[in-house]
Amino acid sequence: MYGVINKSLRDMVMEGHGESTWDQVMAKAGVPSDSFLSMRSYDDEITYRLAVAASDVLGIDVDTALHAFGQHWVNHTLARDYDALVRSTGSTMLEFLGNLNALHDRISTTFLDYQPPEFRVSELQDNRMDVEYISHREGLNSFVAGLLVALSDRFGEPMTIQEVEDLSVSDGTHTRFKLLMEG
Amino acid sequence: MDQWALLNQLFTVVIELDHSGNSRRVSALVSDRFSVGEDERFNFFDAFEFKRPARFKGGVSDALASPGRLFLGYSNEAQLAIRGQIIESDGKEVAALFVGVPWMAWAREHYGENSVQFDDFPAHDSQMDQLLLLSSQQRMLEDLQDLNTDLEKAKTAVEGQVDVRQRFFNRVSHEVRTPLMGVSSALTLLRDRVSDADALNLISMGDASVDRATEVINFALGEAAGQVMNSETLTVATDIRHLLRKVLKLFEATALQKGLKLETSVAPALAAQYWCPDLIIKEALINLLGNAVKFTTQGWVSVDITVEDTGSADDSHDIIFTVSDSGPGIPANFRAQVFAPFETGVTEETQNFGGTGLGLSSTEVAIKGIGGSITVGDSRMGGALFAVRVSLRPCSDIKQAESEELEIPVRRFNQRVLLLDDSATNLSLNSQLLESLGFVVTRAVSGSEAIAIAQASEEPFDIALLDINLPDMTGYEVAQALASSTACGEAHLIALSAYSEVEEQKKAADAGMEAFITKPFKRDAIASLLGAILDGDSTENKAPTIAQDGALVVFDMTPVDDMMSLMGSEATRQIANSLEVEGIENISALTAAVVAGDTVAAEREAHTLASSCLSLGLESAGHLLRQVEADIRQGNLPAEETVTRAEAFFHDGLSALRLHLSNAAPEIDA
Repeated sequence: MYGVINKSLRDMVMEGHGESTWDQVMAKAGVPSDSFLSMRSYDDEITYRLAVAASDVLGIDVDTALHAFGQHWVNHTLARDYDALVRSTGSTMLEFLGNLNALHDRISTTFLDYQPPEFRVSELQDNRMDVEYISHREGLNSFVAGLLVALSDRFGEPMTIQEVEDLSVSDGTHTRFKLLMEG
Repeated sequence: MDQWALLNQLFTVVIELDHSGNSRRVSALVSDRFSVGEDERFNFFDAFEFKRPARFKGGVSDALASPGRLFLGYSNEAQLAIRGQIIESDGKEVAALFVGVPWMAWAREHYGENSVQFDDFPAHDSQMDQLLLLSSQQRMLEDLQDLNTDLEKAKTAVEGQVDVRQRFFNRVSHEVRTPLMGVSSALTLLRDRVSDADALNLISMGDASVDRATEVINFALGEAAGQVMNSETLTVATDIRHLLRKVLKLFEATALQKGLKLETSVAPALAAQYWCPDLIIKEALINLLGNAVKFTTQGWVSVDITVEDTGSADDSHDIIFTVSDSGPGIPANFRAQVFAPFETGVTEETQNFGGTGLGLSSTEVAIKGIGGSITVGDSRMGGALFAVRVSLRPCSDIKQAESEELEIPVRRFNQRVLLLDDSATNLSLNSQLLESLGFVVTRAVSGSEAIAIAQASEEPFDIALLDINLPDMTGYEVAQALASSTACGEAHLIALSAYSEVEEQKKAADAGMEAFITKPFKRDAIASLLGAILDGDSTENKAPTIAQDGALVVFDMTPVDDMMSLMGSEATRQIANSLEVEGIENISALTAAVVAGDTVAAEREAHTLASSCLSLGLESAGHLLRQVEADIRQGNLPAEETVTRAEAFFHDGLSALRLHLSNAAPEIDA
């Protein structure tokens, strides 16, 4: 993953719990340096180790930590560093999610190690919307759930995730999030 | 213009695909890279690997299922990477068309920087603009990397210089200790030989300057921190009441001279003994009390000890030592930095008192080092108030200590000492200093000489005091050699060094040395230390104590002599005169208070007079009045006969004091 993800995780822990807690996370993860360059690609293993260590140090389970991280990614990192990009990607949740693949395509043209997930978004029907998350990575469903919750806040479109359906694949992840839009 | 010609003007990568994905017509760029003629075909989905869309399986129908998607593909064989869209065709044989341009980022990364040319891109494509931007950014990145390298080099250079300067500073600081030792020893020996009051005053000033310089050096070398590091090993069973009495004794004379009342109160809940880093607590109290007495010109100075049960599993108590006074207080705007080093908070009122501003800083470091805290505030009279809070565990298995301390007179020794120091000045001065304590000293100026003496001597040495930094070998090597010699095999081996780091102390311990003395040292301190070491294996050599037979002497000359050496005989006589006048008043007031049943007044009078008596050596009166004070605090007023007996002790002691002063006067003031 790109350094920007690890930096965001670091910011979340440091802003919420202080530098010494982050030092504990680093020590527990066995990651020697947290000088991540935002646009440099790092081994996914580093991000996983940091996330697991953070959950351990903060005394919460990994899924709760990933959910919080998903929200932090939208509310802090995207809002602070990539706000213009987010705005141009959509002005509603449906529009944003519908354009997400195109955004990832564009990023892929320049950042060659970028391996973004795919999202398939259904039409909004009876206030219900399905979002399929497809990735070669595993174990990040809670992160995606956190993203969806934070996006619904950002666009002012309250919703609940009614069901998380695992559409088993041989490698990676294919999950369907069934959303009930409350607006 | 037909569609094909139009598409070839807008895009440089154009491929017609049949329903199986085979190419039909291709643009010039594709034809060139795949080396295919007009009638030659290749399968588009076999020729290219697709990075986007992710998990794209290939085939026309799959491609058309994602209308509008960006396709990013590459053919290593043709050294061509492409980006574009697949659009549906309305022709029967042509199922779809790929329309796009080379994928520049991928091509440059995988096929080399020259793998794409300017003409490969149509005018509207922005990738060449991107290349210009990327090239400038790359240049900027290289500039930043160069700058970073320069900064790294500069940082390394600065760190190197800091390291060199730090080592130089440490070396100089250590080396300053050696001449300081010489000055300190010379002053001590000079004091023994000089009787002129003015000269004695000058010696006292010199002593104070040595103390201050030593304090600065110790602080600079972080000895406070080192002491804290060792605090665990310094934790001993301590009678805090006894410790307080010893500290108060240091200030009784000055307080008396300034007309200050030294007040104390100790909570009854204070246990008999605690496991306590006594040196740190004692130093803290000396620092705080010293400041209080120094800065208070009239009124009182008080030390109060209170106890709070922490409720912890180990039954520890929070002991709070509060030192307060009726002095000028700490200005509110100075409190934030009162514990910062070299801060003296000098005001018009206090500018004449001097000080390095290190005492409170060292105290805070030391107290925090043992897990305690120190705070500053206002006393009840608007003066200063410092509260030290430490958590200590009571010693449950140790009986109540003797309620009164035992005075130890000046100790005389007769043991043989082998003294090694490569500084001729220090060797001579320290030798005289030890001889003044009664030791029989043999001098050695080098490690080899010390070893030779030990091997040749027929008489055994009791102590070997060894300098560590020697030109021919280290003191540790000397110690190891001496340990196997006949004359020093049983001797107490003690390191003597200007270097006091924990690491050095460990080396000394490893070399079999029992103690580590840091230069400069005072005669009293080394007498006490050597006495303790010698007593460790020889109880018969213990100094007799005044109270050994259970009786109290009427008068002990030691504190008076100390006072005379510090202040001169005239000032001491004036204090003695004050004691006579005020003492008689105190006795009268005490008697009146006892008769009236006024415990508050009785306790105050007994306390004041006891302090005055003890600071001038009126032992029997002082101790009896202390007992009276303690009894009153327990709610028991003394019988009138007890007060009468105290009065008699007081007058007897006063007579002895007058006699001593009249005998001493010609000698001291001659």
